[in-house]
Amino acid sequence: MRIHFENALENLKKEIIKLGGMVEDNVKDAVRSFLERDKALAQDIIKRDDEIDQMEIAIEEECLKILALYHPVASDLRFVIVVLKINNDLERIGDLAVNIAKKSRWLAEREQPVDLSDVYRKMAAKTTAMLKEALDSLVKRDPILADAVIAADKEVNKMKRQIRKLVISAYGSGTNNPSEMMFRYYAVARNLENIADLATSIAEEVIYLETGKIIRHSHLINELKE
Amino acid sequence: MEKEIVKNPIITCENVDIFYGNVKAIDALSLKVDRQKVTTLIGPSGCGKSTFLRALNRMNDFIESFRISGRILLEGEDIYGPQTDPVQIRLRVGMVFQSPNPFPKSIFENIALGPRLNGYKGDLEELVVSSLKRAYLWDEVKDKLKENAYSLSGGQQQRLCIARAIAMQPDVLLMDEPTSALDPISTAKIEELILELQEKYTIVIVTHNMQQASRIGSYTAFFYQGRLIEFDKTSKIFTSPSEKMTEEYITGRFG
Ligand SMILES: Nc1ncnc2c1ncn2[C@@H]1O[C@H](COP(=O)(O)OP(=O)(O)OP(=O)(O)O)[C@@H](O)[C@H]1O
Ligand SMILES: [Mg+2]
Repeated sequence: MRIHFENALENLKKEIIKLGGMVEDNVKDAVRSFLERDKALAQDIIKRDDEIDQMEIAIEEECLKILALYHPVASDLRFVIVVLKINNDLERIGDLAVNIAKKSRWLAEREQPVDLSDVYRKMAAKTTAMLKEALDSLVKRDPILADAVIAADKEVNKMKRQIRKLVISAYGSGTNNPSEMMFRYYAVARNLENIADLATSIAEEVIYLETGKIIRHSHLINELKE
Repeated sequence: MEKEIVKNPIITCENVDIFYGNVKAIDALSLKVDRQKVTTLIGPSGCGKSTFLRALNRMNDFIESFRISGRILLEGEDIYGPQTDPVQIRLRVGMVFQSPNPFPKSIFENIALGPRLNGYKGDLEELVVSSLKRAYLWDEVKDKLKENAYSLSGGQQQRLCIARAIAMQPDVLLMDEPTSALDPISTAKIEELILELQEKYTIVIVTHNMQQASRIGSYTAFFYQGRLIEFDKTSKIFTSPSEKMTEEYITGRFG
């Protein structure tokens, strides 16, 4: 029994890591399509999201099957629950990558009146690094790494506020369609921020998985380090 | 190790050692049993669950080589104290065994016998009816109270034994693997019954069925080689136990 069960868990782990890789690729490409104004790439991301959605459903079904068949307890139970949640987070990150791609597609067709790519590049680098490390912390079951991801979230929030200011001052004074342009351009920063939030939630779930402590909405991290 | 999670203990064990001759079966056990809650005892075969359970109502007294030290307090009274009458303890702390063991008498007599022998002053018939009802057996046996208890199914016999224990109006009910000889439907009925009974009684139950322990327990104690390894709320034990050994046992990785 334990052997079948362990195989099922091992398989589940492989699947969620695979999904994580697909989502990570889509986020990176979405960022690239935005920065490089690449319409074809943006189109490709939107198409690839279907695979992510299908995989999310398959993983959820697998989790439910394991819960029903094996009645896992303790760390096994936490693992299945955490996979369920991370699965959901990843699917939402996939959607955010699509949102970015859609904006890239729209923006690529229009002349860019101002270039903030340096700040955006920095924010995107930080966000994708957070996502990568959150997934690494799951693979390595490393709560310290997860903790670093959670700490990085503040910086991304700060970058978003900075971009907000820059966008407003750049577009604030009368281009031909400022508000529409401003809205879409800035929305990319908001999408990146949401991705960072979801990476943070993945990291929090890894900490729960490893320690049994729910740290969402709280400041137990320091206590944990002691 | 023990946190103050039991707020209203009916039984308090302090540093209990139990020996069979020279063999130590329970080692420095301290544990509190919460009032009107279900405490489940789990652990591998031979770890001392039954030994401990039987110590709670002095059933071990019948074993020649049995020796105990430390204190077990029932409502603050040392049940092994020099003034304590073991018969009185067994009235207050009832027991239900692994395989149903009704007397070879009528269903009615199975319930009425104990109270009658103990000089029960009230209405015996009423006591029999209320005990059978409380054990959710009444509807199934009300038309055949005169029939021999052995005519009942195994699951019904076990509920009859629970009704018999209840009729003595105990405070605590001890159960040693009460469903291990029963089919899933009878098991489910007994589990339901145990959950209902905690409204009135404190229940301590030994089980080898992890799912049963998690379904019915409020608290769970994990024993290993005579020692209490971990005691906590059942929900805590089955989601994130503190001890690695508990984790390995309940997830089936043991050994
Ligand atoms: N009457 C007895 N005389 C001598 N040793 C005993 C006696 N009863 C139990 N033991 C020993 O005490 C230890 C604990 O036994 P106990 O029956 O309490 O374990 P248990 O946890 O209930 O096991 P199981 O799950 O198999 O019922 C074992 O080593 C057992 O051999
Ligand atoms: Mg036993």
